[in-house]
Amino acid sequence: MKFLRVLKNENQISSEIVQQANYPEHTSNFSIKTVFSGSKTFTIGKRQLNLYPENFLAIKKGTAYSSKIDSSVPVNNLSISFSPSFLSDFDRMQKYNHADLLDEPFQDGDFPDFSFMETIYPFSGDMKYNIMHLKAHLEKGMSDDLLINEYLHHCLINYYKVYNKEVVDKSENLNFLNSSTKVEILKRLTLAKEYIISNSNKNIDLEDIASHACLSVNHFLRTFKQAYGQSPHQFLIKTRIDRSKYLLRNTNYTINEVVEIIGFECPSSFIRLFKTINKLTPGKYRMCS
Amino acid sequence: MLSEFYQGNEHVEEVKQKTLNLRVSCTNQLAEKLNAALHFVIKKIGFAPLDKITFTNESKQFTLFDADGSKLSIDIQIIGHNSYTENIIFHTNDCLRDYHKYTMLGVEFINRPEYNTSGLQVNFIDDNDNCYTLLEERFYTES
Repeated sequence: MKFLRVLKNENQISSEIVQQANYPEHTSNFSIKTVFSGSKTFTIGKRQLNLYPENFLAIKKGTAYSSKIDSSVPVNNLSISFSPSFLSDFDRMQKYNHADLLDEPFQDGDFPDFSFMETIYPFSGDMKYNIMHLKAHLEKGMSDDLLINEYLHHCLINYYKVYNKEVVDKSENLNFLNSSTKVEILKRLTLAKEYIISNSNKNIDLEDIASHACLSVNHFLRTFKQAYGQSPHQFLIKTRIDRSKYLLRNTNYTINEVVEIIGFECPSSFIRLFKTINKLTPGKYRMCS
Repeated sequence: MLSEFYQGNEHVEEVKQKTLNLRVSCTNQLAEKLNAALHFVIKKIGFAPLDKITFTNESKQFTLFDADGSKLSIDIQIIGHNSYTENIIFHTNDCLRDYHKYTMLGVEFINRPEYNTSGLQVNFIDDNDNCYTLLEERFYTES
């Protein structure tokens, strides 16, 4: 299934299922990228991000990036690109009441600078529900721009909710008085987080992660715990367990294969940990899904 | 579910060929208003109005056929208590789609779809200003 929908307001949604593909470096409007199976690698400057079904990626307008799919399983990926005027309308609707919008219905041409943090976010809850609905409609050939835009409007509502939870709330947790210091630390912690997510299947150590975030190990450990309420190691374990849950629900891999894919060294320690966290074994979890 | 009414159908004419499902729930206190609610929605989606039904059981199912042979299955649940709305609830598995389609059918909504702990919901009114809720329940536990 492959489609590209360009709406009258220049919002775009594209999707395809491929195993091997190379998308050379290009720029786009603000966009949201998801995969529903397998993984896709994005290169943004010097950063390399692996996108899995548990996450989505937000990319700012004008950022140059390339991407690549090289997978043993078909990768179902979807990209939504929002036109600047749609984002501007959305922003005005959030900021102003109906009376203000009636008095001043047209924007003056100055599009606000959306200060989105360009990174990987959890793909779950309302964000996932809405994108899954939209995807299902588009695959059936729905052509109603009004309805598609309604879903896109709600994608932005949900994106803001995720952004507030993952960025704004986390920066509030940091014990720094200076707000620019908070922002800078959070940016570096975000680099660390996406490094952990992208390399969770590998044997990464604390020095690697801290160095990727341009922080000393001690500083990194302390601020990561402050911001996210868990240690980097706990976050890595949670990321691996979330991956395993996806694989158990959506693939036929054996438990041993899942253990290998997610980067655990020993099946018995994985099963023990999985049971501690989820209150049931991986096998029972798969049966209940 | 109300949602199946629309699946794969872009036009009301095509909908006539479908088997439709409608799931409605409300508290005991609102049971007496169910006839008016069903009358309104059933008429909007193109079926003949119901005869008056007495709702005595906790749940009730019945089926309607229109002149073209289309089938409408209705599943009504009377619930003891519900914490998120005081209205009669029409359940759906895609609130935005049904909100959009109902708007096209001339139903008047009094707000835009909004999120709460149960999922996504929006309220609409009938010709007598009775208020109903269109609710897509969502389950947020899965990662």
